[in-house]
Amino acid sequence: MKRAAEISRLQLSVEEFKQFEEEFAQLFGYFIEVQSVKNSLKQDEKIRTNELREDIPVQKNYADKLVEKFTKKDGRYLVAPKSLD
Amino acid sequence: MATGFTKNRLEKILSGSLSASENVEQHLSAIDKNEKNIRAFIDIFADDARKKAKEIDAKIKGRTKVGKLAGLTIAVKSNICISGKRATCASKVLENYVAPYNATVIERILAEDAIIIGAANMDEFAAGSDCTNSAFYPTHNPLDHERVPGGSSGGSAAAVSAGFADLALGSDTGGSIRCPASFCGIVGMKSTYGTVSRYGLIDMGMSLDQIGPFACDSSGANLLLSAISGKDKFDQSTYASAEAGSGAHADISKFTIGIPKEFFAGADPEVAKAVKDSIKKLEAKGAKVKEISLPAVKYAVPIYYLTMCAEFSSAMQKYDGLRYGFPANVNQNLVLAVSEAREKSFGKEVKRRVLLGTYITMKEQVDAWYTKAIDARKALSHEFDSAFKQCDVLIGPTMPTLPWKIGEKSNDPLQMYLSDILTVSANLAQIPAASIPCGMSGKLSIGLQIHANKLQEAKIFAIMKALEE
Repeated sequence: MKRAAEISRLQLSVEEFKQFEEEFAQLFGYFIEVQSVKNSLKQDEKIRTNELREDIPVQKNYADKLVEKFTKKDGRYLVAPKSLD
Repeated sequence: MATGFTKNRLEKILSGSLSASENVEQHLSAIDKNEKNIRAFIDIFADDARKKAKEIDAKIKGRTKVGKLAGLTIAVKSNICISGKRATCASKVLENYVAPYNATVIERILAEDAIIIGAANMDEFAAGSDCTNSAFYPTHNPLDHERVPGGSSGGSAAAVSAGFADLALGSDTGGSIRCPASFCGIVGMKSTYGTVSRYGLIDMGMSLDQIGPFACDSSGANLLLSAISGKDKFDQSTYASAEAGSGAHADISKFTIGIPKEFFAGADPEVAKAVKDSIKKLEAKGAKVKEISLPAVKYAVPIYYLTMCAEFSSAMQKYDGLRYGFPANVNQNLVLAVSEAREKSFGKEVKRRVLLGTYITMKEQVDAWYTKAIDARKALSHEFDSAFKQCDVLIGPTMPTLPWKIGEKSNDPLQMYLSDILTVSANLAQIPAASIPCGMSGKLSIGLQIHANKLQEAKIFAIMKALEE
């Protein structure tokens, strides 16, 4: 759970950890049923997948609107915290 | 709701006996009167709606050709981008996010002269089944204000049911159109995956999501679906040349209706009876009825939640407090800043699903859970494929229970997830399914769900039309 929270980038409180641990025990106790589903399908089953289009550029003029959304910016640059010490 | 309701309204607008402006004012007046009790909307676009109505009235008066939705008001779920309007997903993360472009479905309904009346409330990032997970406020069922409208497209359904809009758009990942349609006593449809573009839909589970219509009757749902569906170069999963929603002319006396016994296991007796009584009506019209079995439906909820949470946790990664959303504290290091911003801005259900999805896709866990879920999904789809070799449609209840009281299931996630047992299969198998009212329990509505094979929406509309007659 702690590792999953780190990867998810969620800084959970102690109470939240405890609550989610209890809930997950219950949920996974039910989800484990999925492991008993037998699949005798051949490989040509029909789940829809992407059909790639031709790579034709399309002019869209909303870069300025996206830049406006940055929570902290310096001109047209997004300001992010340091990632290296 | 009377059959032909939407068609009658449209005819009145086109004939001039009801102007688009009058139609808008009627709906805004209903909103003024009752929205405080329902809370269907996050934003109401009264001025824009009035302006657009005037334009449409001028077109009609000037005998200029108008679109097939001319003058009809539409509520749009708040996870569908409307240019210049907030797309909040009912979350603090996107509380101030203004969409920079129109979703394809929005472009299409505007091209057909529809009037968007507001952005509808929903469960935060579509994570919920009863519209109580909105970061702003819960929506109330118009039929009983103490009960949930269903979710996650609860605001859209409530808007149509309460008379705030003629039609509505929602999104359905595991039943989020059909559940609120059932609970609010209206028609809701999720069409075949790939028939409606997801460009401009803020995603929850990208192999499961579909945008779809709400209406008072099947002809309204058919009309709206035909306006929004079709190939889109911005969504590579859309079908070439398919236009879902055309035609309800199939002859149901030639149909075989499959009744999977698993659809009725665990259903409230009242719900089961109302659905079975409706099936008898279809039999009386000549349809053959056949009981079948779909054993994999028993596993549909775990398959769905494992698949969806994996995709959802990926979809939520972009909310880092840097590009948009709750601002990250740039004075800390990057990991802490992002973690803190996400912790403060996500609701509990969103966090739960993100954690779950991350956990099952960790290297040590992926084979035990996510890979198994993908395999199980294929087995479930195969069962539905086999069923449609012997049946034209499959019918059962939309929801196993009547709508519960607001807050009743908020602290019990497993009970909440189990309520999706009858709706998630359609998303997993990528087939169309719709809900239509089939009876009442006191003042609460009971929904009947119809599944068909891929791209066979016409059969669903034929069944709905027969039930409405």
